[in-house]
Amino acid sequence: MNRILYSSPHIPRQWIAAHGMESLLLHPSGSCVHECVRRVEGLCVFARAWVSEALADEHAAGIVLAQTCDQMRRIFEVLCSQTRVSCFLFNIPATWQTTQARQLYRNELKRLGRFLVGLGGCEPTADVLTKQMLKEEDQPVARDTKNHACRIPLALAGPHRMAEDTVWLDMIERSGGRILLNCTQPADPVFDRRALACEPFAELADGCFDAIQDVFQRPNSKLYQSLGAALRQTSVKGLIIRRYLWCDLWHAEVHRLKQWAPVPVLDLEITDKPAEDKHRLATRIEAFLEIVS
Amino acid sequence: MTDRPAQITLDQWESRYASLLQAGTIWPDYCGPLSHYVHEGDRRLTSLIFDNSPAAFRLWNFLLTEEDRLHRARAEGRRLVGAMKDLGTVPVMAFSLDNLVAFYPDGAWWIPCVMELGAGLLEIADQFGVDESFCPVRAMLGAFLTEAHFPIPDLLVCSAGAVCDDFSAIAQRLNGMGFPILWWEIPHRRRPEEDEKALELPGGRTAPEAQVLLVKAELQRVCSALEALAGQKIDDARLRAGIRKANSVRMQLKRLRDLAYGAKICPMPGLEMLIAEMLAIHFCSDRDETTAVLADLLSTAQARVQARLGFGEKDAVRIFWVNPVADLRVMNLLEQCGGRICGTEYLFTHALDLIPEDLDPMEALARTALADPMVGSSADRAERICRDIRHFRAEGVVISRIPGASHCALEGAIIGQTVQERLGLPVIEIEIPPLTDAMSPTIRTRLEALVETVRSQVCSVQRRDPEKIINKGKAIA
Repeated sequence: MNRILYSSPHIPRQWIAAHGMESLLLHPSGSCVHECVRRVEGLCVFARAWVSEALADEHAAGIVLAQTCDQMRRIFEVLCSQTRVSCFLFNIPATWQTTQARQLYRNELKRLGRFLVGLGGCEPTADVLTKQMLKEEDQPVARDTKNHACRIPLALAGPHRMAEDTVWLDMIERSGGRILLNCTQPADPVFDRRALACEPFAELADGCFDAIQDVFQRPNSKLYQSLGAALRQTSVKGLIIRRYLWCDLWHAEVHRLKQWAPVPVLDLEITDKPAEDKHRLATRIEAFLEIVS
Repeated sequence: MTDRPAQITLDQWESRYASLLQAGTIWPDYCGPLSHYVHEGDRRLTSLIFDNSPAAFRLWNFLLTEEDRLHRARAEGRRLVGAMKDLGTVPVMAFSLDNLVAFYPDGAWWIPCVMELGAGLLEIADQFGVDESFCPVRAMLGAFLTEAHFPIPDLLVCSAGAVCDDFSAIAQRLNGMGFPILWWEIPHRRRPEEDEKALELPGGRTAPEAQVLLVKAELQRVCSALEALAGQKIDDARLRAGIRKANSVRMQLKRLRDLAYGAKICPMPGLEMLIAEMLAIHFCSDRDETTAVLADLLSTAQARVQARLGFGEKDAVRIFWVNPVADLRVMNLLEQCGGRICGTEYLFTHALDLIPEDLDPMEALARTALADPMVGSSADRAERICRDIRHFRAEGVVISRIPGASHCALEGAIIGQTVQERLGLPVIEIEIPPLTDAMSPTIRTRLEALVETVRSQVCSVQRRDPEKIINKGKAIA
């Protein structure tokens, strides 16, 4: 099956799957750096890692990158110049309160559909799309079966994850904490079954568009609302903001989050030098857990 | 204007001002000795050298009195619109209404330079977690919080989407601090696909019709907010009139740029040209006076070209400059190194290109907004830069990097590579912080290296093909 690499969970995987293609949301590890971005100063760690690993994948049929920030938008150009794989830039609107923004998202989905068809995908029928959406809804939620009773519960917020995150997640565990609430993953869209039966595409577009609660949105009040609601429902002792070096959108919000959050906040900046990060992060995590415990 | 063109210091301007007054030169009321602004904190003026023409004197006074104008406008009952990020489109709408004045709070990014960090705006931004990893536009945050550099606008409008992360993040912080902002979407400009209708944009690019219609609807939303603020409707006739006036400013700037960047001998220094170009964005809060200031500059430049008078050496190296500089002094420095500005791309070419007058006016503005170089790809931007380099016959390119700016990480390399591949010109990329004093020797060395490289290339071509050199730098004007 043709595999499509994509960069953001705000691009509905159901839509890619409905075209008969396999979707892979790439969480880069940061372990390889492509020559074309090796010496670029000021480039976001996530963007650098993402483009490097996308370029290393020789089997992808297509690459779909979401424009959720300036750096990812610009890395698209680098990607296109370095690969023979067909690439697509999905324009996710920053605004969300207008019909224009909603329409833009729908139009981009349709454009993505044409791109996928161009790569050999099949144009989905309403039935296929509906089945795909329901199938995704029915996926069992993975449950953490470990015994965490004695660990300090924490919440995590920040941009979409990199595979490398396991390193400092382990640090948290080793220091006696656990992530009880992970807000780095977007909420799954909720589809109205009746609307789904009539107009599955519209329901997919609207459901996915409404589910976006991210830092790049303007205003970004939905992010605060969802984070606030989640924090109220849990009994976490602290909030960790994990952000990547040169990600301005999250960096600028840290100060506000510190003032706003009902629990202590730890700002964890991840650079592209994991070896150097290791001790700094471990010390910060240990100190934070000592404080919140 | 019979005086020989020269670049003079602030002190020299003091005595020149007195003698010009004595000789009967008449300036508008807002003009006065430039030292006045230094006493108010604009200390960078003491490190700059200025064009010695009365027109340039008027230009500087016009620029440095903007805050007074904004306060006066409010006192007179006019409403203030803070347009943010789009650089050139929203003010055309705002100035189409009788009682609105628009300005860009973005302009605060020059305050740390002009006041030599004396205003403490960067420190305030630091305190709010917006540190030096952000572009100098973070000074805007401090300017809003101190309310010391411009009156807080009655309406804030900011484009979102295909914009730089620094600005967007800082504007969002302002929003989070309680400053209401009307956000409008500007999508990343993409190439029209095969089955899409392509519409031409000012500056020669195209965009899919769907994007133009989206931006038109967004601008319509901004327009409604402006109308509500002004208590007046913007009908097509009014907007067309506003576009015509904006175009008249753009035409003046086109003539001025052609003269300043095209003439054999440079008739207007790069620093004054940078300030003049900036007037296109929001008319420095007074559209009519902008026209008068530019008319003065234009006639000065014309007189100098006719008299074959100007600045620098005759073989000054013709440099195309990309991105605005955070420290104004660098524009002087280039000339001191043997270069001259011959073409610029200060990130607002869409505010210089004429707005189409034969279209529905709101659509014309939408096309203009989509022509913003920041909205498209770096490759698009590089293409336009190459075209303008050819137009102005530039011989070398400086890409001035804005510290911390999200777009600067990658675009410099793309632009530089395109220029080198297509035109074979030498390119350097230099980071320019708000105050370059500590780095001045390094920047100077790099600029001198560029000038020397161009000169050595010219010498080598001259040896091979003397004809080419005769044609070099032929005047466009």
